[in-house]
Amino acid sequence: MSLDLYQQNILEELRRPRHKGVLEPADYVVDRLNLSCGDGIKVYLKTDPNTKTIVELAWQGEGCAISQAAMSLLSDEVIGRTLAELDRFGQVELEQLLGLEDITPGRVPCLMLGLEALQSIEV
Amino acid sequence: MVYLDSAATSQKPRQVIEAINNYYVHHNANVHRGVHVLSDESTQAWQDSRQIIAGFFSADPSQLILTRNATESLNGVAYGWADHNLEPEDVIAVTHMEHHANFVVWQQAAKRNNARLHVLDIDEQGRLDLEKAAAQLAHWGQRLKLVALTHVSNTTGVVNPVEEVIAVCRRLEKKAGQPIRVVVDGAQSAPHLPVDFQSLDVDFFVFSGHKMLGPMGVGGLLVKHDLLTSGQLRPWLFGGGMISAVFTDRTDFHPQPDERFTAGTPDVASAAGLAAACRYLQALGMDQVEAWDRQLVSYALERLGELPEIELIGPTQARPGAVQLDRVGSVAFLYRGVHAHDVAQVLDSEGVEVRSGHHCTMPLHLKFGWQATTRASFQVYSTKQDIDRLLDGLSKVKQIFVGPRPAVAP
Repeated sequence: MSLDLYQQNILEELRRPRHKGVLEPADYVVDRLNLSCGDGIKVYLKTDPNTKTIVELAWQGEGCAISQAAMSLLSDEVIGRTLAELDRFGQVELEQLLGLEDITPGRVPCLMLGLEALQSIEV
Repeated sequence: MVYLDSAATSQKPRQVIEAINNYYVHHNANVHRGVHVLSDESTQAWQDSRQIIAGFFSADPSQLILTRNATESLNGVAYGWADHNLEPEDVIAVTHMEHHANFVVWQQAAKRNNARLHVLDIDEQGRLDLEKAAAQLAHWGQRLKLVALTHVSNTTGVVNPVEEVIAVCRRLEKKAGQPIRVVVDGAQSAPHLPVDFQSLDVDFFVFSGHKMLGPMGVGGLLVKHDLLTSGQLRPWLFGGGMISAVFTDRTDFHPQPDERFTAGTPDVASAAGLAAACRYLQALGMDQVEAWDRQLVSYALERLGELPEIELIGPTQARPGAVQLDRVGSVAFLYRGVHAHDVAQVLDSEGVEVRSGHHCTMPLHLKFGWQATTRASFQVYSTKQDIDRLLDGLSKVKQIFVGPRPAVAP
């Protein structure tokens, strides 16, 4: 099962991550560190001041294939959504995005790293 | 499956598991509490085990305090000694390579006592520079009260020159006219090297049973006699067993040091298990154990060193003039372009179990800018074939992450 983690779509995200970069100035800059492995993701957002819809996003990160691929795929999903809608995402949604089933408990924090950064924004 | 994570915890020989089982099946009762036969047997098992474990380190049983593990032993030194003996502005020295257990404990003890934590520098190979360290320690003069260092690094595998560091401290304390206490963290040395507590002339030596073929939940603190008899090391856990008399307004503690530091019902079965592990290692001979480990480390360094995508962590060559490489137990590495967790996950899928992460040495990882490393570590049951399997697993990592891409399955 664990080798399925490294299926082609995930490796593809690693090679060509979506929206990776820096956005300055940004309306929100949030980051999250996984202290157990040193992985980190920083997300920059520009939002519509009235609707709080995410209009632009960029992210920087270093880490394992799972944390980086999850953030890459998630970035495409959240652009165009409002900050409040970020709550709709959870582990299951991320697993679906990556096409993974039954991710091992040890890798869940990797999967969730970018999403947790985004969800740390106080709406 | 190939288990290359013995530095995290070793597997247990059948003899160890049988000793635990035997205790619970035939001798289980509380120690020192009853006059019945089972209680006597349990007390005997406890004392025999203590004798064997202390003997393994050439120590007297009266110098041995059994704890849960090395971490608890280090906390014991902090709460039982440091908190009663440190003055504001005193200095505790540690090295940059310490495991969090021998780092955070002293950082927090320093905070509690308004003392200063001095971190001794290490060189590019992860070695302590003895001359520089001696000069830094001398600089603190009478303020220096404690030096805490690991015997063997769990990340670089470096064997610290603990005898020399202790000798430096003994010279400095003569000059200062007051003792400098030395703590050696033996969690990674006790499983691989012969340790003679008496001749080491160290004040405190700590170890974890589970890394040296023993069960989880038992470890030890060896203490120099003068610290026990002078009362400088005080009990930090209180309750039954450690007392001689209790009154409503005061308590007299047990006069025997091994009793004074054992509050509550001890883990007799684990002590019996650890004693069995000590006997197992003694039967192999610690010189043989060390020799085998050195062969494995050198083979792993050689094989991994052939791979351009691997950057080895820690020393790979003996110090100038030294007869052998100052490194045992493990080989950690970076895989260029692939995160350690991904390396470990692919290895796992190939049946090779290694550790990835910062191995509880964040200050060391931060110093060198390593986000996370992958570590293969060994024990008496490890073989060169295990290392060959590791190499096979690493070629799979290359296939997945670096290419050429694997053929698409039909």
